[in-house]
Amino acid sequence: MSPALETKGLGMRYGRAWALRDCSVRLPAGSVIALVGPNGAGKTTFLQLVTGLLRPTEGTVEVFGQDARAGSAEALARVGFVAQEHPLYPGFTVADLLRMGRSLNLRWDRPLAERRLEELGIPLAKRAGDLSGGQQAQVALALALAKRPALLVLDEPLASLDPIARRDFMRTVMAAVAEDEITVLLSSHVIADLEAVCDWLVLLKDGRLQLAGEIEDVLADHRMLTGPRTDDEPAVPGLVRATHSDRHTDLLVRAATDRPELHPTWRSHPVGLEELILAYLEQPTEIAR
Amino acid sequence: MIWLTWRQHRAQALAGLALIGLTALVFLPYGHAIRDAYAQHGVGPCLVRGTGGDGCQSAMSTFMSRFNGIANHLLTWFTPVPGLIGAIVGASLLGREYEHGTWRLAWTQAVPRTRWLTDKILLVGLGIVVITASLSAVFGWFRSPIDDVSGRFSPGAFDLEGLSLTGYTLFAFAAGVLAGLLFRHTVPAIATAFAAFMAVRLPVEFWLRQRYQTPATRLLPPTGHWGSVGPMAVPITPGTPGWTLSENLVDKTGHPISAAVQDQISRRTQALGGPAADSYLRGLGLHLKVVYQPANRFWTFQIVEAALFLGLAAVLLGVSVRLLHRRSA
Repeated sequence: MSPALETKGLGMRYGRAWALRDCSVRLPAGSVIALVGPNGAGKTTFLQLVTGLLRPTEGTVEVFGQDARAGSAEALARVGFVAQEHPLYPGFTVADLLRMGRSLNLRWDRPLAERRLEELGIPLAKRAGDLSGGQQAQVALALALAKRPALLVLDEPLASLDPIARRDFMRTVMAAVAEDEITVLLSSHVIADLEAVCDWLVLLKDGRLQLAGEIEDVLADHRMLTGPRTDDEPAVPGLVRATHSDRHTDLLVRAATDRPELHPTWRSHPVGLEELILAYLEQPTEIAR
Repeated sequence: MIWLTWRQHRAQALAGLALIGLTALVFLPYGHAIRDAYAQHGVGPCLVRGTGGDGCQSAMSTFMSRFNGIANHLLTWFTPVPGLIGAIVGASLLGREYEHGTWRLAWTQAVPRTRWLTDKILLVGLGIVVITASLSAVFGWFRSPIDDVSGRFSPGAFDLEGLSLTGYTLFAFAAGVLAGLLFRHTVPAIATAFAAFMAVRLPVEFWLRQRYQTPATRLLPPTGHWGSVGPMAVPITPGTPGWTLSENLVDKTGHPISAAVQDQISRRTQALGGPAADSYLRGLGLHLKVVYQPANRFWTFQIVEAALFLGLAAVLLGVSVRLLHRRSA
C-alpha cells in the first residue's frame, strides 16, 4: 500500500529548541490517524510541516509521494487543513469565505460545501465572527472538505468545542471518510474522542516519536502484567512502564510473547488504548528511546 | 486573488477614495479663490514681463503672503500622511493574518504563499498608485498659480505634485509589509514602518534632494532685495523660478565679501531702499551670485526622487517575499 504520508528524519528547530526531532513514519492511505501527545509535544509543528506551513530544519515530508516542502499549488490542493482554533476572517460572511475558497483553489466543490452548511443550519449571510465556536469549526471544515483533499489534516479540532459540537464535527469528518475514502490525520490530547474513530496511532512526546502503528496491532503487541509488588525494576524485555501500588506491581510490556519469563503468579492481560497511551506519556522520556 | 484582495482591502480603498473626495471638496473651491486673486493682483502679466519692477514685486509679494503660508501649511500636515497611509495598509497585509491566525487558512489553499504575497502587493500597490496620483492631481491643480510665482521646487509643491507622493506612499507600504512579516502584529509594524519612513523621507528632503544635480550659478547685477533664499523665495530674476540655494554679494573677481563689509552694506541698502540701493551696490562694483537648481529640472528631480523611493520599496518587498518563502515552503 502506498503511504499517504511519509517522513524521514524529520526535525524542526525554533532558535535553539527542537520542537520535533528525528521523526520517521509511514502512514497508510485511507486510514484515520490520531496524533496524540501532551501539550508542547510537537503535534502542531508536525501538522504544519505536513501542510507545508513550516519548512523542516532537517529531514523530509512526502504527501502522496510529493515533497510537502515544495509548496506547489498541486501539493497544497491535495491537503485540506483546519488549524487550531479553526481561524476564519471574522469580517467575512460565510458566503465570502466560500467565494474565497473557490478563487484560491484548483478544485472546489461548492455544492458540497453549501449542502453541508445548509444541513447544519449555518446561514451563508452571517459574518464568521458572529458564529458560535462549533459553527466556526464546521465552516472551517466545510472549506477544507470542499477542496476535495486526499488528506485532511485537523489540528486539535475538538479542543474548543462543547460535547454536542464535538459529536457533530466528528460526524461530518467520518461522513467524508465514508464517502470519499480520504485519509485523515488529526491531533488531540483527549484520547476518548479518538478511540471510536481512529484506526492508526502516532504518539509524540517532547518532540520525539514514541510509537506509531495500527491501533489493533499496537494493542495486540502490548500486555499488562500484574504480580506481587517488587521494589526493584524487574528485568523484563520490552518494559514500557512499571507502576506500583500497595501490593501489586503493574508492568506494561511491549512483547509478542504472552508468557514472560516470570514467576507463575504473574498474570497477563490485554491493555486498553487509553491505558496504553497514558503509560507511554507518563514514562520518563529517556527510557523511551 | 483579485476578489480576495478587494474583499480584504476594500475598507481601505474606500477610505482612500473618501480622502480624495474630501481633498477635492476642500481644495477645488479654494483653488478657484486663488485663481481669482491671481487675476486680481495681475500676477500673470507680471510673470510674463519678468520681474517687471517694484509694482510687480509688491503685487507678487501680496499674492504670495496671502496664499503661500496656507499652501505650505497644507504640506506641513500632509507630510506624514503618505507614511501613515502606506504603513497602515502595508502592515495590515501580513500583520492582520498573523494576528487572527488566518495565515494558516490563507496559505493552505492552493495558492502558494509567495504568489499570494506578490499578487497582493501588486494589487494593493496599484490601488495606492491610483489614489496617490489622484491626490497629486488635486494638489497640483490647486497649487498651480502659486507654483507660477514660486516654482515647483518648494516642498509644498515638490512633495505633493508629480510622482513623489506616490513614491513615498509605496515606500511606506513596503516598509509596512516587511514590518508586518517580522513583528507578526499590526500596531508595532505600523509604528516601525512609519518611523523608518520618516527617517528616510526627512533627510532626503532637507539634505539629499538639492544634491541630485550640480546646481547652476549665475552672476546678476546686484539688487537691494537680495538675501531671500530657499525654495519658497519670491523670485528676483526673470523666468520661471527655480530653487535658489544661496544668494551672495561677490566682488569683481567673484570672491564673496567679508561678513563685516556685508553687514555694513546691508545697513546702507536698507537706509537707501529701492532703486537707490541697487545703484549704490552697482557703484561698489558688486555682483549677486546666485546658486540654484533651474526650474526646468523639476521633472528630472521628480524622477530621481521617485526612483529612489520606488527602488527602496522594491528592495523591501523583495526581501519580504524572500523571507516568506524561506520561512516555510
